[in-house]
Amino acid sequence: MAVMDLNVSPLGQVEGDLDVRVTITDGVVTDAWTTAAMFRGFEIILKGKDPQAGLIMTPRICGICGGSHLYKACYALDTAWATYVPPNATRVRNIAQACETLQSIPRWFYAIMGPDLTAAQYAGALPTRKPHAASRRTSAPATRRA
Amino acid sequence: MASVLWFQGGACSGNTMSFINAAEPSVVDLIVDFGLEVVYHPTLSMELGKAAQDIFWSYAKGEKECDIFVFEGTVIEGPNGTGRMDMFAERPMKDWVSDIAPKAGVVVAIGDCASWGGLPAVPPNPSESRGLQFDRGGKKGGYLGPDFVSRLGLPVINIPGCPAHPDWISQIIVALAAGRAKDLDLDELHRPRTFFTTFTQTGCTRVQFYNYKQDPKSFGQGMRSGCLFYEFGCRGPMTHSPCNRILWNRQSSKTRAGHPCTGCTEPGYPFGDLELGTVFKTQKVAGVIPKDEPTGMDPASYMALAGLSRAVAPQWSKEDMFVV
Repeated sequence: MAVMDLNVSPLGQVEGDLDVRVTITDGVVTDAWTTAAMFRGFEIILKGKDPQAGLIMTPRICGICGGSHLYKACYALDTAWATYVPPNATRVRNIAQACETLQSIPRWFYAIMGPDLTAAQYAGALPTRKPHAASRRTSAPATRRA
Repeated sequence: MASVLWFQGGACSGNTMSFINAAEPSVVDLIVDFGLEVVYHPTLSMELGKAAQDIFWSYAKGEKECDIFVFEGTVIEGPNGTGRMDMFAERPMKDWVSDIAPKAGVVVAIGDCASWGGLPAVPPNPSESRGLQFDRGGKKGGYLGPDFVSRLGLPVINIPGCPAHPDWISQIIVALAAGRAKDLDLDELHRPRTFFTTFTQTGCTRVQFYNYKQDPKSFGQGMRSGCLFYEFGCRGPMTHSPCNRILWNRQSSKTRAGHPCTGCTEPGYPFGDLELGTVFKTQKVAGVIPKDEPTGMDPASYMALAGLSRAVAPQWSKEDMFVV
C-alpha cells in the first residue's frame, strides 16, 4: 500500500489564501485538510463601533461577493431597528444582487476556472459535442413550413 | 515586455476584481497589445503548490527580476510581529514582501490596504496590518519604511481606493509596462497626480446644491437633489479622486447614486474610525461648522460663504428638479 502526503501551498485561482494537504493511498485521495491562513479580525474591529459601520466594513470582507455581505449587513440593521422596508427597496436590493451574480458567474467560469479546462489531462475527460446536433437544426425549418 | 508579479496580503481580492473589469485598456489589451507578462497572479495563474513556490523563490533569491511588483492588501505583521496571521506558500506573506519588493523594478500598492492599511488597520487593528510605505492616517513609514526605493530608485506607487477604479489600475500599469515609470508625477502620498489631483466633487451632479447649501431631506427622500456634504458625511469636497470624471461602470458614482463619498482614496478612511455617530453623518464643531472644511477653506470663510449661499438660494434648489 503506497501512502503519499501531498501539500499544495498555495492553491491558486481562489483568493490566494488556501492551502490543501491530501493523503493519497494507492492513487486514491483518502483524506484531505484545508487551511486558509489569513486573519484580519473584522469582527473584532466592528465591536463597539457605530451600527452603520457594518455598511462600510462588512462588504469589504470579500471583494468578490461584497454585495451579498452588504445585503446581509442591511438586513441585520433592518431586523435590529425593526425598519419598514418598502417593496421597492426590496426590488432594488434584488436587482443589485442579480447584477452581482451576472458579473460573478462569467468571471468565475471564463477567467478563473475555465483556463484549467485547457490542461492536457482534461482532453479525454470532457464530453464533446455530438455530431447529430447538425441534423436537428435541418429538421426545424421543415416543421415550420408544414 | 514587462513582467508582473501580483501578491495579495490581508486583502479581499476586490482590487483584483476591479482590475479584471478594466476597459480602457482591458486586461486582455495589457497582455496582448502591451506585452505584459503576468508571471504570477493568485486569482488568474494556473500554477499551484511547488510550481508556484519555485516561481516565488526565483524572484525572492534574485535569480529572476520582475519589472512590476503589485501588492494588494495589507502587510500583516500579527501576531506579535511574526506575520503568521497571513501565511502564503508556507511562509508569512511579509517575508515574501521583504525579499521581493527591493528587487522589483517598481513596486505598486493597489487599494487602500496596500497603500496605508485601509480597513484592517482600523483600531484596534487586530492583525497588526500596515501599508507598504504609509501607515493609517498618512504617516510615511509602513512596512517597507519611509526610505524604501525599488530597483529603479522609485518609492512605492500608491493607487488607493476601496477598491481602486479599474482604469486607474490598468492605465498606471500601461505606463509602467511602457517603461514610463519615471514620468509618473506623484503627490506627497505617492499617488499619481494625473488621477488624484481633482476632487470627488469635481463633476458631481449635486454641485449646484452644494453651492446653495441645500441638503436632501433624509436618506431615501429626494436623494436626487441636495448636497450630501452638509449633513450626510459626504467627503466629496476634500477627497482627491476622479470618481465623477472617470465614472464607475462608465455610468455612475457614489454621489450620483445618492451615497455620500466615504473618502476612500485618502489615508484617513474610514474617517472617525467608525466610532459611534461618525458614519454617514457630517461631524461638526459647535453644531454648525463642519469639522473638516472643504479643502483650502477655513472656518471663517466657510461660515461667510455658507450664510450667503443659503440666503440667496433660489427656489428650484429647494425642490426636486428631476421630477417633471
